[in-house]
This record gives sequence, structure tokens and C-alpha cells, in this order.
Amino acid sequence: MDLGLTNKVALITGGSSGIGLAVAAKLAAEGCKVAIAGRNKTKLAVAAAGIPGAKAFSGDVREPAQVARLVDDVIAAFGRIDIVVSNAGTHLPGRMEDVETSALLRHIETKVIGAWELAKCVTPHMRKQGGGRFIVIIGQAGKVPQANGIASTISNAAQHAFVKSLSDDLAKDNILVNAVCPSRIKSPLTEALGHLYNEVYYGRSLEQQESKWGAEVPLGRWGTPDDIANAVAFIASERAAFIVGANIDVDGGHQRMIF
Amino acid sequence: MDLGLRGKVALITGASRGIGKAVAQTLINEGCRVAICARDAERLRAAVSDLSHGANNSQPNDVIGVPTDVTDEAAVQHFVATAHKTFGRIDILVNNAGTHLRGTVDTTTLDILNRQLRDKVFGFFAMIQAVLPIMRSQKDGRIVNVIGQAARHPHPDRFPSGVTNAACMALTKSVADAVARDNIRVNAVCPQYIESELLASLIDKEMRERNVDRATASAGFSRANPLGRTGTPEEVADLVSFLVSDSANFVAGSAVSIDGGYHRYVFG
Ligand SMILES: NC(=O)c1ccc[n+]([C@@H]2O[C@H](COP(=O)([O-])OP(=O)(O)OC[C@H]3O[C@@H](n4cnc5c(N)ncnc54)[C@H](OP(=O)(O)O)[C@@H]3O)[C@@H](O)[C@H]2O)c1
Ligand SMILES: NC(=O)c1ccc[n+]([C@@H]2O[C@H](COP(=O)([O-])OP(=O)(O)OC[C@H]3O[C@@H](n4cnc5c(N)ncnc54)[C@H](OP(=O)(O)O)[C@@H]3O)[C@@H](O)[C@H]2O)c1
Repeated sequence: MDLGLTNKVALITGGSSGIGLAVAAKLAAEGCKVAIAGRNKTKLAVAAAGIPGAKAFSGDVREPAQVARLVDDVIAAFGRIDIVVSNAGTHLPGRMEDVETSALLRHIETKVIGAWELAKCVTPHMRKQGGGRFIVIIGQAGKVPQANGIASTISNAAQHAFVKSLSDDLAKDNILVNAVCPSRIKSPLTEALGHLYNEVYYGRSLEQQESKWGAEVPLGRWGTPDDIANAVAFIASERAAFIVGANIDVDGGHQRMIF
Repeated sequence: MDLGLRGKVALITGASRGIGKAVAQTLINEGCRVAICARDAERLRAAVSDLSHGANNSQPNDVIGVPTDVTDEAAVQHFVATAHKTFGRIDILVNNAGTHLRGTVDTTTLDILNRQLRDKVFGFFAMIQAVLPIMRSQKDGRIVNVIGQAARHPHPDRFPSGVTNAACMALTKSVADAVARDNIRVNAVCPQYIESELLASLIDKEMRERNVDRATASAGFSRANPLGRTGTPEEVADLVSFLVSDSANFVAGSAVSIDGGYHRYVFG
């Protein structure tokens, strides 16, 4: 399938590791010029060295001034931005009692305000260019409630509201906003988190409870960063020009919503 | 992107025109062998002929057509058996046959509701049951149900298709969970306002019943989404092709909207 991505400029936040790195490599393989962003400069340099033509830009998405500078720098380097993949972030585990309010705030700053600031800075450029794609990576904590992941559940649900509202706003300018929703993807993040809690009782039948069916996602295995990268590449492509304000779950069937 | 579809065998129901035919064409372009069905044998034959000699193909493609009403269980069995015998395997099923019946709680007859449910819920179910043993024995299968946003937006005048499509969403998730560990991935696409004969008939209906001109009737569809236009069967076909491909190997039990932003759900 020809994705029509040749020579498009793509900015991927959190592009130095895991999912973001795989997205950057995939988009580059499809002919994009890629810009990757993250905080740790050494990690960024190593990542960029492995992707043909990639340029690295350091910045913390929690700092509005740094996001603005990031977008300016990418425009200065490449002249335009066609695709943004807002991916920077992490998972904040723990129950309400375990999570410091300040940690929750930082988490929301990264995931929600970071994506918001990025959209604010990049939209004028995309408008001038006649369109663009804005893709937010939203972890399935947003659709899969869990007592011990309450901070991520809150931030990710807010990301969904952001994506849908923003997609309504920008579609008329041919800026298409969508989400790709990962769960259970092997990455440095999930390696470091170790065991992840899976619900085996709530919402399950007795048969499912006894067989511990819910101990893994329905497909019974984990996915790879490439699985997410493929979905992002498709959504970013000319082949997805009628997809607006939508989600693709890349989660092995984890989330339970039917609508 | 290489979708890894070369040599795969795909069954597409309701592929004599519209979305189904576009799905068949796109999968052929990706290297699939396809078996298609519809009720009207003459139009089905014409579609097989079009698909066999696609624009860029000098070689005839591997396409067969089997006239089939998906509401007839014996006919479904025959369609699947014929395709299996011809191609030796079945990797992909795209459940697409059906229509969109309008009507309110007052104007819908039991007969209309029955027809809508039989085409989509019963038809999808019969096709899935018929292909599952084959996909299980291959330890690989990919199923996509073409549903539609009436599931999420059961407007008063879409009573039959609203309840039917909502049932198809439950069907998709239930089957996806049941067969995921056999490495069979079941997903759905939810299109809205795609340029087909079906949409043309809806525009005609608005003109007739509301006594408005074509531009006004058409505008009622295109301005219902933020993108401000209707979609094409080819656009739906591209999404379906992605979902049944190796590139979507971790996508299961998902219902993906393709509607220019029409639907009003935050988590859709
Ligand atoms: N893996 C999964 O199964 C999964 C599931 C659900 C959701 N997600 C989400 O998917 C995204 C990527 O996850 P991953 O598994 O690839 O994680 P990862 O390997 O830890 O990569 C995270 C990336 O984000 C960057 N980053 C983190 N905070 C940042 C900040 N404030 N500003 C700029 N860059 C920042 C990191 O680089 P620096 O640390 O150098 O800044 C790194 O490049 C995350 O948002 C995560 O929550 C992943
Ligand atoms: N177009 C849209 O905007 C839209 C929106 C939401 C959902 N959808 C869904 O997408 C699917 C395709 O729609 P379309 O717009 O392409 O419609 P279409 O142009 O009317 O095509 C429908 C196809 O299905 C076949 N078919 C109908 N009932 C059948 C049955 N019982 N058994 C076998 N084949 C049957 C038709 O051929 P015969 O009549 O010869 O059988 C034809 O090939 C439908 O399920 C529809 O509900 C479409």
C-alpha cells in the first residue's frame, strides 16, 4: 500500500525510546523526514544516529517555552511540519493513596498540557501549509479503569476529550486529529514497570475468572512498538484522509468498550 | 508499507458494488485471491469481470463470485465451501453485505426490523460460523465487520439500523474475545456517509420526502461531519485492508470510525 508519505516532515515527541523510536523509524522508512524530541540528549543522539536523516531536538513537553522552541527549531531545520505524533510520557502507577498530588499534576502536565501546547504551536504552521496530521498516543488506561493506575486513567481520559474536541475544531483546516491507543507493548517503559496488573475478576464471567482468562489481554501475548508504529503510519498517511476524531486500539483486545 | 497480504485468500460479502467491491479491488491490488458474493447474479458476474481485469493487470486476477443471500444459511455454507475448495484456504472474511433501513418506532414494521437484523446480525454470524473451523485449523484468521455509525447514533428515523448495528458491535467484541487465542483477529469499521448507491438512495429519499433540491439534500449529509464531505468506498477499503493485514497483528476487538468526524463519542 502506497502511504504517500514521501518527503513529509514528522515530529515525534518521546522519539528516543520504545514506541516513539519505532514510530520515527517507520515513518523514516516510509520516506518522511523525521524530527525526534525528548529530554535526555545522549539518548536522543543515539536514537537519531540509527534513523536515516533524523534530527534530534531536546526539550521537555512540560515546559511551554521549550515546546514553542522545539516547534520553531523543527520549522527552522525542515521548513514545515506535516505530521506530529504526541507520544512523550510515561505510566504513573499506584492507587490514590500512593500517588502524590504533585506527581499527578506533573503527569497531567506531560500528557495533557504537553499535547495541548504542541497543538497550539504547530497549528498555525499546518494551517499555512494547507493541512496536517496530529496523532496522540493514548494509553488504554484511558478506557480501562483501574484502581492502581488511577493517575494514568485520569490523564488519558482527558487526552481522549482533547483529541475529539480538537478534531472538531481543526478538520475544516484539513488538520486531521486522531488517536492510537496502545496497551501491553514491550518497551523500556513496560520492562521497567515489571508486572502489570490485569483484572481477572471484575466484569468477567465465572468461567473467565476460574481460567484466569483476563491475566493476559485477549490475544494472549504482548505487542511490539512496531505494532503501534504501523498504525501511526497508516493514520498519518494519505490513505486515511476520511478518518477524523477516531481511535485505533492496538492492544490485543484489552479494552472492554463496544462503542 | 508492505501489508503482507500476498497470496492470502479473502471472502467479501456484498461485493457487487459500493464498499464491498472497493474492498475486493484493494485486496486484489495487495495480492489477495478473492471470493465475493451478492444476491443479484447478473451484477455479481459484472463485478467479477471488472475485478478480474483491473486497470493495471494484464494477467487475469484470482476472483470468483458465488451468488449468495447471506440470510440463507445453506447458501452461506455453499459460498464458503466453494471458496475453500477453489483456493485451499480462507485467511480473511469481510462481512459487508447489508443495507441501511430507515424508519421510526412508528413506521418500522416487524418485517422491516426482521429484514435488517437478518442481513447484518444473522448474516455476519452465519458467515463467521462457517469460516471459523477453517481459520482455527490454520491458526490464523482476520475478520472485519462493516457496521456503520447508526450503532452510535440511533436517531429516531434510524430505528432498524440503529438497533441492528448496535447488535453488530456486541457481536464483534464477543467473537473477538472468543477466538483471539486461536490467533483470529476480529475487528469492525464504522463508516458514515460513503458515496455508494446506498447513499444516493438516501439523498433521493430526502429530496422526495422533504421536497428539497439535490444540493440541499446532499448538504444534509456532507455538513454532518467536521470535514464537510462524504467519503469514498476506496477510503473504507484502505482501512479494511490495513486491519486485515500483518501490519495490524495486535489489533483485536477494535471498532474503528471512518466518518470524517461525524460521531460524537469521546472514546470512539
Ligand atoms: N508501552 C506500553 O505498553 C504503553 C501502554 C500505554 C501507553 N503508553 C504510552 O506510550 C508512550 C510511549 O511509551 P513507551 O513505552 O515507548 O515509553 P518509553 O520507552 O519510556 O519512552 C518514553 C519516551 O518519552 C520521552 N519523554 C518522557 N517524558 C518526557 C517529557 N516530559 N518531555 C519530552 N519527552 C519525554 C522519553 O525520553 P526522555 O525520558 O529522555 O525525555 C522517551 O523518549 C508514553 O506516553 C506511554 O505512557 C505505552
Ligand atoms: N454507504 C454508507 O454510507 C454506509 C454507512 C454505514 C454503513 N454502511 C454499510 O456498509 C455496507 C455496504 O454498504 P454500501 O454503501 O456499499 O451499500 P450498497 O451499495 O447498497 O451495496 C450493498 C452490497 O451488499 C449486497 N447485499 C445486500 N444484501 C445482501 C444479502 N442479504 N446477501 C448478500 N449480499 C447482499 C448488495 O448486492 P445485492 O443487492 O445484489 O445482494 C451489494 O453488493 C452495508 O452493510 C451498509 O450498511 C454503509
